[in-house]
Amino acid sequence: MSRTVLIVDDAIFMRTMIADILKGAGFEVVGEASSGVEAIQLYRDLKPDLVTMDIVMPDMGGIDAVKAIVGEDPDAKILMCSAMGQQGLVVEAIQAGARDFVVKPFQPSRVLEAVQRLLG
Amino acid sequence: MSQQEKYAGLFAAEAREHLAEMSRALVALESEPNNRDSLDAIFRSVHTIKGMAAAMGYEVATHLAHNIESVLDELRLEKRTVDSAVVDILLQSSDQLEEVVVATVEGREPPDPAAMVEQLVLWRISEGAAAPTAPAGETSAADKPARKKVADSKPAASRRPERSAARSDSRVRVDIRRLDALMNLIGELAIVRGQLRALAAETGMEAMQDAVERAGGLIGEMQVQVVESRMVPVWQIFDRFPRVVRDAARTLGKEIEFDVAGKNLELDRTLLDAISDPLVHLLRNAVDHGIESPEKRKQAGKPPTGHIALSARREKSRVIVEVRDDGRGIDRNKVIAKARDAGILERDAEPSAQELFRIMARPGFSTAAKITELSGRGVGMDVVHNAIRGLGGAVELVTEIGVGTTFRMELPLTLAILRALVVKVNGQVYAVPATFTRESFEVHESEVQEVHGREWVDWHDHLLPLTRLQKMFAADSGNGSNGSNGSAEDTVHVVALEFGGSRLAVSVDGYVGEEEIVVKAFNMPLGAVPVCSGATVRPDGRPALVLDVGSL
Repeated sequence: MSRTVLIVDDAIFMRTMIADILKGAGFEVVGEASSGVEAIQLYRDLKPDLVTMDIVMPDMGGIDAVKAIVGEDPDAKILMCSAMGQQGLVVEAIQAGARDFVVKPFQPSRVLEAVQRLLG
Repeated sequence: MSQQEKYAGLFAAEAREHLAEMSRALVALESEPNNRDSLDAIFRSVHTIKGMAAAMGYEVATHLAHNIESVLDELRLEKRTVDSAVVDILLQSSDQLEEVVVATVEGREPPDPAAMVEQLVLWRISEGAAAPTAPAGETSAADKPARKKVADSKPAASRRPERSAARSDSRVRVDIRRLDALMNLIGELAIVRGQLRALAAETGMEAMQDAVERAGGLIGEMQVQVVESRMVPVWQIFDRFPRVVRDAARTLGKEIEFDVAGKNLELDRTLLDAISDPLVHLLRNAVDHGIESPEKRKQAGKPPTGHIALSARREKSRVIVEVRDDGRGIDRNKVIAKARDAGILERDAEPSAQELFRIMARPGFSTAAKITELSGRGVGMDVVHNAIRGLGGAVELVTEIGVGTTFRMELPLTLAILRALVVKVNGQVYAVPATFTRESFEVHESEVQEVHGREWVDWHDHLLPLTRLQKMFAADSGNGSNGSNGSAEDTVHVVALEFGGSRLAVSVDGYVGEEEIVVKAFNMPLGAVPVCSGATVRPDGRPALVLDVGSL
């Protein structure tokens, strides 16, 4: 059975791009959220194997969403997707419970490598 | 479509939304420098554009966005305070970012943002992080709560609910040309339906006729679906306008408050794009010629700050968009006098609100003492008039000296289909947009009255001026017929029309019926047929001209 992924990003553009990379590698994208609030709800509903999480979003950013999701499910595997220049926030996200990060612009190989490592 | 093209399309559409949002939030920030929500919204927009541009490999846009973001970061972290200097830099850089993004998306060489980037960097190193200048002793005390506030600050609570709601159901972005293509196909289908219906009737087979009717119903439903999918909320362009008004007001030294109402009203995408430039023109015009200088306003006993309001609302099957100002108004008598001198208006005629606009919109007609660079009145109004007419709409002008001016545009909901009364004139078929038709009726030739050299017909106790289309089209085609052809008997077929507040009547040879017509093209060469604004193809496959009621 293919592994399931929830993609969280406020830009449709980014969600499409990440989804294409992951689908191309055989993952099943089960949901997309455009804010932290939506991400928490969809995580509960879908219980995906993996979450890709943007940091800057309206209606609750990625770091608060990581805190909330990991608070409910300590085993949640969350990959932060940050733009350059946000090193401080990435560190904060890792402290909050995110497992790894990739920096935009994505290289598909780098994204897949991080995902595969996370899912073991 | 290649993967790269798909991403480029997504990028273009989404970047544009973010640029509009940024522009709106910047103007809000300027009037309320402490508004955290505005600052956050600007930051998110720039940040998102930066991320997307980086992913596309658009280096110039990424670089510029990154430098704008760095300035915003200092403001967000409250290292510096928002003042008009930084808002100016942000406004200029957002303009440049827009230019860069648009050029890049269109495959052109983007302008070099080096000078802008230098300004952004200079701002950051000038006066440095010393900014919230408090006496040395208080700095640390004042600094701490400020930082804490940043850390605690909760994300803005659903600042734009309609957007987050839209995101939670699944949507796709579609190129408008696909919808146009679909609409055209449905138009062709409707033509085939007409042919099928005729053929089925010939066979006399009831089952076949039923099936054709059902197919016809389904085509109609399809049409409704496509038309609805073309609708977008007007904020997609209205959000740019606060900036337009602000910039014009600054250039001209006016103080202006600008209100927008009805932002969530939905309009056909093509229609919305088409009214964007005319609206910009009307708004600039209101700032330039409408609103007086603060001193003049005070002298006139008005508050020094002028007021401009833009509103959109739906009235039945029409959309009304208004630009209203509380400025000096236009001297009606001056316009009328000038029009009479120029021979545009008859000596004793009193123009309606709509005619007034048409007079003012004539190329070269100007009552303004001087024509400013920003909006030379006359030339631009001509463009507004043609644009709105081309859309099958109307503009009228209501003005009162010292009180203000209102430009009122009446538009159809969509350009894709038009409900129309189809009539026959001199053997040709014409479509009259149903938006403007009130009633069709017949009178005897003897009931047509002649007063002041014009013909009039009585309609529910109102006398309507009557225009004989037979005469008008005969004159246009140059065959000099005097209009007595067509219906030989003494019955006059009349259509009562209402357009922008004025009522009139036209005579035709006969009625074909009311039809939903698919508008195939509205880009007729201007002036080709003076009283027609477009063409359509009817269910029988034959073309018909769309009558431009506004020009009658």
